[in-house]
Amino acid sequence: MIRLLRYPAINGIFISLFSAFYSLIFFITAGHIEFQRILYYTSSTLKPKPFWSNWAAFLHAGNQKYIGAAIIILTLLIIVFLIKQHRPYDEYQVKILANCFMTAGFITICAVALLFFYILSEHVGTVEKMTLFIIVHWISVLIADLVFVLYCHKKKKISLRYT
Amino acid sequence: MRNLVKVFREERNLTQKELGERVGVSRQAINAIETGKFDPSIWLAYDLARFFGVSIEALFLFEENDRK
Repeated sequence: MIRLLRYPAINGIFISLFSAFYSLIFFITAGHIEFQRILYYTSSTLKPKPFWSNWAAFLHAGNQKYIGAAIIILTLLIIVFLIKQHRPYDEYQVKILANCFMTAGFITICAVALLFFYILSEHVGTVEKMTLFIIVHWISVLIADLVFVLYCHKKKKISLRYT
Repeated sequence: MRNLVKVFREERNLTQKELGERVGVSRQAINAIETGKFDPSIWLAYDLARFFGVSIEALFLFEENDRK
């Protein structure tokens, strides 16, 4: 498994798949009437917290398509730098990437637990909460990955191994 | 792990980037090795030692306190 992390293409494929998935959902749900119906905090009979009502209004207006576009732009930036990475990552870079994934995994596990607790505490508005969680989570992953590929970006040609 | 990579590298007037290119790793990897933040794999340690013409034990200072 660790050996797979040596190849920048694996990083690119992983990031691209999930970015394509999330951005596709955001584009499809933007302005979609069924999605607007399942939003909870847009109901006029409620007095929700301002944050959630504003967030629900943002989603109701279909503005998540701009977030989808931002996800695509970030992903394309990452892929551009990955394409310029002409050789596999060395063992030090693989170690950093593996540590990043472990840290991200740990934070995700904690965040999911907190989200679960929060939803149980206030079980309404699940769509708004999950959407916000997904956006914050995936944008964070993309930014972290972009920082990593920039850190590893090399301008020199393939090195000559000492013989 | 303490090592003499920087000493041997500077004796040969090489930059970290140049040394990295000779043994097939990044400048960041060489820097991390020299500062003790990263312990190389056995093969990278072997490549470094062979490049400098010394044994692994002469290049990397094995101490019981560093054992993980």
